Amino acid sequence: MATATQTAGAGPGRDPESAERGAAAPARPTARPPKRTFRPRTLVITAVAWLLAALFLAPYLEMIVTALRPADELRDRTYLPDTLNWSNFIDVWKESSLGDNLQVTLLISGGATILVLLVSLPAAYYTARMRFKGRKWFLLLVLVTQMFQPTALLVGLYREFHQLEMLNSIWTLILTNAAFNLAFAVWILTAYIGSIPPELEEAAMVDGTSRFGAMIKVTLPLALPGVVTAVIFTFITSWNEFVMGLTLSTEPDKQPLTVGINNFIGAYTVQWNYLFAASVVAIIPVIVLFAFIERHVVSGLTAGSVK
Amino acid sequence: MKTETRPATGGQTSGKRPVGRTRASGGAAFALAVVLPPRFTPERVRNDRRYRTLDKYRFIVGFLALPLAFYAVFVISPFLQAIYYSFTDWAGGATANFVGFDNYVKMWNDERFWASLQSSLLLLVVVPLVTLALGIFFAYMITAGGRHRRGQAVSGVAGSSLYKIVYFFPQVLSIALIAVVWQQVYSSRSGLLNGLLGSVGLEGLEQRWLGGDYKLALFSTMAVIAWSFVGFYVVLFSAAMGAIPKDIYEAALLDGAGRAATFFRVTLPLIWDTVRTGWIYMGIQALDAFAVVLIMVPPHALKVTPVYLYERFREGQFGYATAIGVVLLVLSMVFTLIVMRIGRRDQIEY
Repeated sequence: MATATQTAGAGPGRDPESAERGAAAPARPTARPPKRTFRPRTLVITAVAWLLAALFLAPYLEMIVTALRPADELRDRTYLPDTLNWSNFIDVWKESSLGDNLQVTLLISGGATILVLLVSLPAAYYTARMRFKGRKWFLLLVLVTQMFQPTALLVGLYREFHQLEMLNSIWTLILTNAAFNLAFAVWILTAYIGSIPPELEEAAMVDGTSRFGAMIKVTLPLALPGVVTAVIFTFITSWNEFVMGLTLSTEPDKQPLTVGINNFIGAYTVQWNYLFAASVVAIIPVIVLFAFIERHVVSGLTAGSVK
Repeated sequence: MKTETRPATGGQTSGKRPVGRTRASGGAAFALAVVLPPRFTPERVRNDRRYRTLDKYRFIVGFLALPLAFYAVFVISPFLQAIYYSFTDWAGGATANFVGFDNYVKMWNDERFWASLQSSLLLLVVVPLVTLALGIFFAYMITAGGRHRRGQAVSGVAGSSLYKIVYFFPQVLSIALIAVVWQQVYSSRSGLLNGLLGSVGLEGLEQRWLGGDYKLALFSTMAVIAWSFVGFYVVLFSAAMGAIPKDIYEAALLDGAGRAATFFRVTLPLIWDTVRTGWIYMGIQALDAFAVVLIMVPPHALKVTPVYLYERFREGQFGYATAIGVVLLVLSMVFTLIVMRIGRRDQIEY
């Protein structure tokens, strides 16, 4: 169902120019015989691709190896440690505040994601379906605010939350993360909902459903890939957010993981094994999340990029 | 909910009364109708033209007020405050004196600011080009780089979905972690990079990647930012390429177009809009580059403008820091406008 509407959104009209050229071309046997599938060039390309993939994965390997390295082997130049120290994974929670930081980050990312969804979905729905005065201005506002970097607005934000006496509150970070991800979510959801034919909703409304009911029962399920994309991006961006966590909260146990890591390497002799053990634990939820919805991310991005 | 339904049914009974009374009670019924879901609104009120206008505005208020309030409080207000305080000597206390363009004059004469801006501008120009080129190349390989199997005009290299996941990996890693991991990789004493060079007999190429030379530190930083974002663009561009109808490729193949010609004549023009959007986004990310530089690079080797801003902020020079922030915002707007302008092409629909 979802894929069908998507191709509709992509627009079925063909590029007339290339189609014409194709027709005018001298008749040649179509695609080359499929038998010759093994050529040196293919081999080289495959090898390069694997090499690049290895390059992309190498830092992770470094991370995992260091996470398992016993403390007394940290200074060695040997790549693999002699013994693997699994207890690093347990000790790190006792020895540092990284556990608290991880919890804070989860709360912030989760909270910001829910908030963004609650706010952006109705707004995107309205903007996609209605032609109202100021619609253009609203879309322009969304587009322009996408270009604002948190770093440039840092002092303004700091002052605002200082006056509200909300520094060091988790809510502050939830709200700011939500605000900075709102633009992208509204933008992609507007594009997505706009590609769903309104006739479907009208049919449901003729059958006696209210407009709100039609939105929940008809449009929302069809827009699910777009929603998933918005969720993923908000979550990942909030998960990675650094500068606002660094300035808007100063108490070590109320800072997000990114800031906690920065403190950890700045404080004293860095215990890389603990740091990377915490890191390995911290990426697991995101990787699991990503593995589940990778397909949706791709299809959601298509919808956003086409329109 | 139950308590709310009661006045609505009251409104309904009043609807059965003579016309003269309904005019008077109309206002109250309207006021209630704004708060209540439509199904509790009396039929008579619902068919009123005034109610329909009201219904429209209720929709606007309910659906758009929240995001607008968000923007107002967390984006627009800090933005306006930033502009205002960039003209003051505010140092965090209660007083903020208006000082005109003093902060901007100071910035103009501040050599350290210009040095940081130079690095930032180099990042802004180079990183998007490298990242997008790599992203497009990988995406093309993934979607159309394979041999023509199963009678299809285009197909990806073997294992393309695996590559997509691998490339996207850095995107799910926290940026602070990326900086920390790469700091380890670049480390001159026990780093992976120098270790690798040493083990293949290239000891002569071992470097102090981050702590020494400015150019080398800048180059190393660019590599990390590009590395961390390429995956996002591989996924984005392969999604855009996947949306191109296969028969266009078939037509190009019939014309005898090779891989390169197909790419430059067919693929690139058709995904150009996505490329332009990605370019703007990447430029803004590269201009920021705050976390990577602050965490990974020693302060003496390399400084970018956002880090310089942060340092002034930490020193309590809030007025000056906001002025730098305003310059950064202007820069990203100018960059966006330039990319929009030079990236403009005829829209191709397919």
